[in-house]
Amino acid sequence: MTNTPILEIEDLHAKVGDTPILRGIDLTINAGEVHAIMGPNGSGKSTLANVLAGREDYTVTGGSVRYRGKDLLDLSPEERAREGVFLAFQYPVEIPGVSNSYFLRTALNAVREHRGEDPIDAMDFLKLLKEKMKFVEMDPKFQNRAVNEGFSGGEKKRNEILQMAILEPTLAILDETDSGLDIDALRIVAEGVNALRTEDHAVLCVTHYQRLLNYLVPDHVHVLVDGRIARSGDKGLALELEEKGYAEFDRAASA
Amino acid sequence: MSSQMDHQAAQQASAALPPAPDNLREQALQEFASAGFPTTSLEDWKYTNLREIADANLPLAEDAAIDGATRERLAEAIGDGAGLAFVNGHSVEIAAKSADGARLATVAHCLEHEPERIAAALRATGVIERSSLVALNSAFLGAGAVIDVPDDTVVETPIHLVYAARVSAAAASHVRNLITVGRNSRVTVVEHYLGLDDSRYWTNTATDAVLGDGARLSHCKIQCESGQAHHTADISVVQGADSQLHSLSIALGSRLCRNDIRSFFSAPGGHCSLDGLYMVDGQQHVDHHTSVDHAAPHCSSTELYKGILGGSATGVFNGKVLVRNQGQQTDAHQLNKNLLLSDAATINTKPQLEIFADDVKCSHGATTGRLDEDAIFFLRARAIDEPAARRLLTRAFANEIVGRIDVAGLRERVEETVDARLAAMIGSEENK
Repeated sequence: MTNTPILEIEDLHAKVGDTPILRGIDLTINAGEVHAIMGPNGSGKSTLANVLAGREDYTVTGGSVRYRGKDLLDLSPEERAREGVFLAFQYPVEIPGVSNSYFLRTALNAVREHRGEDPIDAMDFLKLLKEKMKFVEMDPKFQNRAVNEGFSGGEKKRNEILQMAILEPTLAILDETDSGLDIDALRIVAEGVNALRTEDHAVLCVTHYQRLLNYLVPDHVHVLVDGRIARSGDKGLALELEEKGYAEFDRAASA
Repeated sequence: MSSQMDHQAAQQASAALPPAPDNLREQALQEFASAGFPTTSLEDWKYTNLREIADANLPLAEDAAIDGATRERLAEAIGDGAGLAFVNGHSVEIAAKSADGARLATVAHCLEHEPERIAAALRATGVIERSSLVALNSAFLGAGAVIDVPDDTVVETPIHLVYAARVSAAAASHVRNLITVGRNSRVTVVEHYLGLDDSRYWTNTATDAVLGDGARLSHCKIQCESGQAHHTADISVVQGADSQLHSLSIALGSRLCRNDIRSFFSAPGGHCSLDGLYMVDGQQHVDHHTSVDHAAPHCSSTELYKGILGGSATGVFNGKVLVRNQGQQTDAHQLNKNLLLSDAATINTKPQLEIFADDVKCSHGATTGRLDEDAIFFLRARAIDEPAARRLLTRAFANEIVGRIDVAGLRERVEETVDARLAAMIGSEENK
């Protein structure tokens, strides 16, 4: 592996309303790496994921984020997506009246246009969609259904992985994509992430449980407590947390 | 024409038209003279003010010269269907398919040659109470179309009635469509109202339809009048046993638009669906009043009206469902959903359920809101820029109605018109 940084977070502070949530995050993710962020509820894991994607409900109050050398915080959510940042949503949104296939093609073409490529031909797109749907083991009928409308929790998460597989992001951020998933769906999420495990990509996986990490072995594990990274380690740290829980950090945080 | 209308002038104007049967015009004129224009003191007209038209004393619109481009637009509206075209209420020769199975003629032609067809259609809808504007329309009966479908006939080709307007000075046209669908017959009728430029005029249209037992009418009205126009319409349908009415109203144009859509179940087993989409911005005003009269048992009605309002536009939806004593086993559902694109846009929505039978299923609902910001962020996080995300979500909202147009070629054309309208509406919100 080369040590080209994809994401460099320095002393990142963010708040929601008047409540500070992130209180000085430092994290560097290099090309080819899979990082897991773990931590108790309310530690700021999802905030970090959403701040990186550009959600406007959060205000960054300090620090910097560089993505492939660029100031990430300066970009709009759509510019980040076009540059290859992908957030797999914890709660994917239903969009009645827009078919999954139309939505995916519109998203893909927005990325292609940004790269200076022509829009994808309709037939080529259908071929790509068919192949990727097979990869995430989704029934072809979902391509004509409205985005996430009436999908089960697992189907929505699978659909997130389908979007990731089609857009092939440079940096994939998974926000508790594993919550509420059965074993089959977990395996598919992990396969989707592992497909991005090449020198051109990096993955940041936010999770509460170690379960997903059985399928998706992270290179680095960080424990987020009270808006800061309290400890970093390798995959062994995840196992340790599974066994002992977050009690130790809770005590440290409240001390 | 004020409410103390110049009776003599009106009589003279209508005297210039071909004679109508049974003193119809004179009676209607008297009826209108005693009622006058609807005013906002009437509950049904609380939010829609016709004073400007009432005070304007508009003359009848005159025949306009038809150039090639106009002829092309009329032909385009008919597409590969059958139909008739009119400019300012005057018939224009346009080559179109024949409506196999149906008899299609202008009102003017029928007045001259088959007045009984007109009298019969008008008698049948007499059971429905309508506004005084319909009386005024009858007082000037002369423009419009008469469609008769005999019993046991399926008319495959949709029939388009295209009413275009272009006037040099403000004027009114009163359009009447009379549709009779025989027993176990089926027909699709599309009414188009087109402004050819931004001239000021008033279209006052009324449609009377009578459905025999087991008959089915798909009726689609597309209103794209000039932005300066006033448009008032009354569609009244009497439904026989086991008949079906599918009514769609798409209202995009005109400064003021009022649509009254009424169905009357005269016998058991009938069904009607009343659906609509209105899109207004700037200073536009749009008002839909629907009324379903469950005067017979075992009938069902569904309604879905959706509105998109921007600028300082105002909208009204009033859905009346009357279930009479004899209307047992009625199944009636109604929903009105509105999307507001600006702070200044307003909508007044009101269900009006009057239920006298005790064994019925009735429901109603209304929602008014903005675009879902979570959905916008979701689309932006998928590389779609914000204006495109707003367009996509708004179009999806509209498509639930547009998607119900089942006339080949027409749905695509309406989709294009709706898209262009949306782009303009969203664009103008962004430039504020």
